[in-house]
Amino acid sequence: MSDMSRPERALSAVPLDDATLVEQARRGDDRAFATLYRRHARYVAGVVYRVLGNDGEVDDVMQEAFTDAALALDDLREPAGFRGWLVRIVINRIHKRLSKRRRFRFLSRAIELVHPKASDPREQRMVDELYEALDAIPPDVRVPWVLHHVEGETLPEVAKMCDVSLATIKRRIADAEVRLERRLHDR
Amino acid sequence: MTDKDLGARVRKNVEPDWNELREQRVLARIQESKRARLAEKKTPRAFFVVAAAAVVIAGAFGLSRLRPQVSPSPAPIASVTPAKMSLTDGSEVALASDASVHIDEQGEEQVRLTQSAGEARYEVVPNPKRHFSVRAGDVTVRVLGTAFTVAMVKGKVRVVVHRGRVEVEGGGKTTVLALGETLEVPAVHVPEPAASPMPSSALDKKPSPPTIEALLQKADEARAANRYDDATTSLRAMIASYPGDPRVASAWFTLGRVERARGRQAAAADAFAHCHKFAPHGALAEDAMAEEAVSWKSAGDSAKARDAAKRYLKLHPGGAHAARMMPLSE
Repeated sequence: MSDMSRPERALSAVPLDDATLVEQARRGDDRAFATLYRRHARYVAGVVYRVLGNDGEVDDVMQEAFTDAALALDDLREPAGFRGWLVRIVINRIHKRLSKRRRFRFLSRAIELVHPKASDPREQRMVDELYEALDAIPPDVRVPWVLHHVEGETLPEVAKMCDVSLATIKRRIADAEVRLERRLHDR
Repeated sequence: MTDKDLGARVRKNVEPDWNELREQRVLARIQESKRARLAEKKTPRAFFVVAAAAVVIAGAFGLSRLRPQVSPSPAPIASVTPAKMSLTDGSEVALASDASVHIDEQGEEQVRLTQSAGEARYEVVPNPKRHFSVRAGDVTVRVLGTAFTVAMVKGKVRVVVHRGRVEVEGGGKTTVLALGETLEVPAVHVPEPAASPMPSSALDKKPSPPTIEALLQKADEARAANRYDDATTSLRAMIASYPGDPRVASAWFTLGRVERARGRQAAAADAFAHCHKFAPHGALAEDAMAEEAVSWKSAGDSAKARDAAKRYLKLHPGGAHAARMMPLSE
């Protein structure tokens, strides 16, 4: 009896995939959504931090984006593509924040922008210079540049995440490269 | 340096200070904000107009908002996808996603439940030999063989009877509700002020208890500074002062972690068990049950660890902690 039950138990212990959890969450299972959250929270927090460059905003963006996702689960056409869909929502929220930040740039300059803290202090200067340059370029070119070059996402993935065509994303990343190079080399 | 190299250096060096506590806290914020947004959606604009008019009329007639009001027709309670809680006597509780209900007692003569948040519909099997009651805040609903819904919304408890009769004790009086009747009572009863020999200035000086946010912050700061005794004190104060707040589940869970950090494994197991009991369908319930099993094992109580692990595997056979629970359950 026990020999028979062991393989079954081992099989049942395989963690549920995103698609199954999405289906359960759609039926109102909060635990399933919490599992999805825990599975992707660290990755999403990293993306938010590296794109925005400010740890102080990470929790707010996480809250906004995951709440958006929880309420829009029924709109997700391919449950297995939960992560990509979630990142699109996150990027939307980041765009709003960066646009707002640019509108109030005169104020952010007055209070001095906070840049991410490098884990290796020898790299702090590089991080400071890069984020200062990133703060000076528009969000629609900044976000794809970070997603591609920092997060390592492929161009088609970045296009999907930013909800624009592949050609547009290539153009935007190239634009960001030129702008960043000019700013970093002007130093 | 190419953009790719630059990006790789940033990726290697820029990581948020993300940890389990922060993850938990953000999850609690997400759940709170989801509830708030759903509540906004469920409340049509016309309702605000009617509600505003009702407030004005109530104010004009000097009605006390502490007095329960019976209305002949049931106010609509939003339909939500429920989870089911089955009781041993065959009664069932359908839980909305925001509901938190736990069983205080489940015997042949008495069934006592406590609802601390959200909306739940109770289908109670008639049994004249058994007392069935639900406590929500300071309101107690005693069942006389029936189906009814209890919703905790914005400081009030709303009871709607779908079948049979219930007796509701709250707001300083007891009311029997029949089929189709609705009653709204403040969740916390404020008694009529009694004549006090104390001068009002002395009353004014009475210190108000710390807010739940202040207690949470204090606990977090103490925990970050490894002042575990202080963290425990703040968390226990929060649990004792705000027993109905949904964040109590998170407080119990954090308390479990703090007790574990202090090396008090049995106390940790007890805190995790309380977390699960407080919100058996909450986001932390699954983790709490697993951590309870691990803590009992660390405390050297293999029997309790086995019980908790078995309970976990029964409820979450494909859960995130199933692999950890299997050796503990054997």
